[in-house]
Amino acid sequence: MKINPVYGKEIKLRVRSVKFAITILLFNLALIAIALFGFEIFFNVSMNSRIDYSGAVTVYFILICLEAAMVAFLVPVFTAGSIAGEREKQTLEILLTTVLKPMQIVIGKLMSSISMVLLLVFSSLPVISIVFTIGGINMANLLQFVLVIIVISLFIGSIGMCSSALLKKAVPATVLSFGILMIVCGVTAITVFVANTSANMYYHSVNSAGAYPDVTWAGYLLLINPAFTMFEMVMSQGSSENLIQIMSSGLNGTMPSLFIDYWFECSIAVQLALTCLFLFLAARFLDPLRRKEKARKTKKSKKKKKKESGDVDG
Amino acid sequence: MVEIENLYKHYGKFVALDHLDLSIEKGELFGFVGPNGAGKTTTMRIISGLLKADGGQAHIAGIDALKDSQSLKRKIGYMPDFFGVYDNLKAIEYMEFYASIYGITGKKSKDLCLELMDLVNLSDKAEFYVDSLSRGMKQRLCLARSLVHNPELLILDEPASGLDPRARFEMKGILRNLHDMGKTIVISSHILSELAEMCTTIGIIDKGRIVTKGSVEDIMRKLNTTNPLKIHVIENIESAVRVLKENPQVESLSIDGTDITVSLEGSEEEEAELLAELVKNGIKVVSYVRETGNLEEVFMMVTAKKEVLD
Ligand SMILES: Nc1ncnc2c1ncn2[C@@H]1O[C@H](COP(=O)(O)OP(=O)(O)O)[C@@H](O)[C@H]1O
Ligand SMILES: [Mg+2]
Repeated sequence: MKINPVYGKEIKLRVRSVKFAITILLFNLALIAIALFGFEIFFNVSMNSRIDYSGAVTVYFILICLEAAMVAFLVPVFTAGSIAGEREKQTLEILLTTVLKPMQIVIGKLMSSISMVLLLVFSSLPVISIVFTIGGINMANLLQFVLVIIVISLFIGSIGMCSSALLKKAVPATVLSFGILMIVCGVTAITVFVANTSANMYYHSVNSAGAYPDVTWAGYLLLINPAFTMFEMVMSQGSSENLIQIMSSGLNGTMPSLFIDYWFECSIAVQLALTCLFLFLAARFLDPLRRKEKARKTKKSKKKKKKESGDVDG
Repeated sequence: MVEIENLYKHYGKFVALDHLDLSIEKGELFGFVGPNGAGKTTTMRIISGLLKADGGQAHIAGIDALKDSQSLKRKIGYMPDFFGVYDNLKAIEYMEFYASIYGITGKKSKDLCLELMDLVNLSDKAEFYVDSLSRGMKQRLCLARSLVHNPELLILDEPASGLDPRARFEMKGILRNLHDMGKTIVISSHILSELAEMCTTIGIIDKGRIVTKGSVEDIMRKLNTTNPLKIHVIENIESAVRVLKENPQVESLSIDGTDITVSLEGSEEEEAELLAELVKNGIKVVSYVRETGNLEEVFMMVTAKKEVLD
């Protein structure tokens, strides 16, 4: 198999930097510290002879949520800087005159950015599997977590790539990708909350028709929310109750059993589809023959106008 | 090799390329000269597949450059006017990265890259980090980089700008070398003399149009008739100017004290007639000389002509 040249170069650069090795080390030390601290609290403080498995499970959940949060934080930083950074350093133009297709550049950059983050996650799997020695969590749970992390990285990474291809500078691109991520995670959750609250308020108001309005539509928005996917996974691993069922009845309706039973798979499919869409957009923004040049135009013509009017005055 | 017809490009209201026509033969070392803002970079970016044209045609090595940018990219090596390098790579790694884009890897890649670095006199810098190289070296490295896929056409945008004279000289030698190896090269500059001795053909562009094109000698010959006429008169300068302005062959004129500089396109006969007319009108002409222009003056004349008359 021929590896993507952009990917090859980026990985070579990243892997040989000492900084990266130190990051891996520090990250895992931090995780171990948190895990040990967690075990200390759950097992030693209670001082009873019974071993409480749920304590170990809680430590596991804390660890994987920390890793997911790290992914959500690092992936936008890495991806948003990737193309905009080349543009800033004036290396992008040369890349675009080679036979590399925009999509290849996008894929190479995305993969190199997220494989760094994933490498951090994978390096920590041994630490996480400490909980296995205590029990309560099995291998399938861990694999599901790995799958979620990969999908979330791709999804958030594609948002970062899109911002990076669209904007000229790395910093605005990073801001934009966090903005989009906030919409995807925050706004969907808030919408569900608001829909639920207003439905209840309507029910308690005078002109209520005697039933809670069905606002399950808002629940579907959560399919695109990677934080919720993570949350749902943790809930389903940690308890036997179906979170989606609870949510849909909270929204005064029901969802088809496809979503009730396979929410996890559905949300992953939706997020992967969105990933493709974002990557397609990124490649399009990157293609010089499809992209219109704008920012420079307005600035220059303004300058020109100023100069012309100055000439008239003088 | 390069056939450009009617190429048109505007940025908002500003017309950058005004129906530009240009053809370059295989094997030429073509000098693309024009003042800043004339449209050189715009033209080069369009024929390198980096910028969309708003109209016209461009064929490079038989390929429709405006439509089939993927095939185009195999035929051309492009060096932008401003570019960056990946500082944290060694020079040889930098080269190998671009080779890998064209599917060249392993020993083959290393050999090729060393050979190309040798061609640009950088073989002793292979193991140096790119950011430790001087500007001239980076420029040469980028030139070597643009050769990894053995392109038929090299498009170099102001490769000598910002270089010190020694680096310039070195660059020229390399380009001449490449030309001898049979590459077609287009090289732009805003300084005519910089290209004159090296290029086989010169095209002068101004305001998005090709003003004139040909070998350096051709252009000098063609333009000698348009070299400024220096006329020195005593008294009556206004009537001299009036007479000059009435003559349809006079394209522009400027006055400096009692010196009048006239741009007149015409044969020597017409030149003589103009003098006769001045004298007939009672103007005391002290001297009346066609300047044997140097390159830069020629260039200034060609590119400034239209403005002066307005
Ligand atoms: N992106 C752009 N937006 C607006 N105007 C531009 C842009 N690029 C170039 N121009 C204008 O087009 C003209 C031609 O530019 P260019 O081709 O770079 O000239 P040259 O390379 O001959 O100096 C200039 O006046 C420049 O200001
Ligand atoms: Mg230019």
